Amino acid sequence: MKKLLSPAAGHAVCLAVVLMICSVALIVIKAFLPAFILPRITITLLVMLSLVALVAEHFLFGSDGTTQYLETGLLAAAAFWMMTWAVGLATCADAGKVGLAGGVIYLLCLLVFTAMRSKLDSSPIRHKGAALTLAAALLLLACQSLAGLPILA
Amino acid sequence: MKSVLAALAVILACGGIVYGCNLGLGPMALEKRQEEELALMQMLLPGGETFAPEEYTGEDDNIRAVWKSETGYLIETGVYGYADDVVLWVGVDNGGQVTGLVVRSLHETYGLGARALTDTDFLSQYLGTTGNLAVGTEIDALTGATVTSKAITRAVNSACAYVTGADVETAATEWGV
Repeated sequence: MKKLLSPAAGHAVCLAVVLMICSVALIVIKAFLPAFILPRITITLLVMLSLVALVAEHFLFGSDGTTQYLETGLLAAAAFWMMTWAVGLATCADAGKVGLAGGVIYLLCLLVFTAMRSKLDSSPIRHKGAALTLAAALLLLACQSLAGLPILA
Repeated sequence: MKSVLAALAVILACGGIVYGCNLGLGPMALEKRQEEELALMQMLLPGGETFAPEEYTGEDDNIRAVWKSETGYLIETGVYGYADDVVLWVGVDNGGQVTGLVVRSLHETYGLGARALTDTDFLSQYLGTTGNLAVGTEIDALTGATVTSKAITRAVNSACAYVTGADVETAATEWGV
């Protein structure tokens, strides 16, 4: 995938696939478990989805040193907007808010994740993948403080 | 440029798959939800067979929806807890007694306020009551979740007050009691 797509496109594709899997899971839960309390769209949820996509991309396609941040942010915003609207969680306009927030959050997560990855790459740690996953999990825990901030009212 | 277009195509394709799933499973989800809601209502208000929506014209902001049945009322309440609104369904019979309640939506702190969802010992305190409840007096709060406990108490008080016609501006419904 690294040779077929630019780094920004690669990030967006991974993110889109992760969002698609989560959206389909959401639809199935709504259909078969109607009493299930679904999480609200908050900053923490968007951070979690972004980190899952980044970790999955790292394990599947390895690291990529260069990235075009503006392109990445715009494609991520498009992915978040598309999935939020397609799953029926919001109207087109409201999904745009989620897309905008998602794009910014994904970009921030990418910056922090890339920094963590470069530090781990230059370290003597043996299990770099596990260390990176743990670091991403700790980053998500740190974002729990933003749990009360919804994107959609 | 080709990469960006390819990525956009993948995003559109993924969105199309999700939209298709939503379209296909949407009617079934709606039907199952309606079945689940009716079964829940009948459980919360024993003896009730049909539930007709009733327009709420009062001033209590805690009350979101009301359904009238043969044996009482099913009231949906929403009260802000610690992190978000706590939405409850409270079954109140025609005598103003709580016959059942269930938390329908809750996004409180995991391990603290979130326990209100499943802590039957806590929720069962409200059964048989007629409102005018206060945490610390009639109700023992969840440990570490006083704010959530007070929100649920306010919700139950509002539901009972709707049926009994009590003044909702009593001290029992004010914050801090």
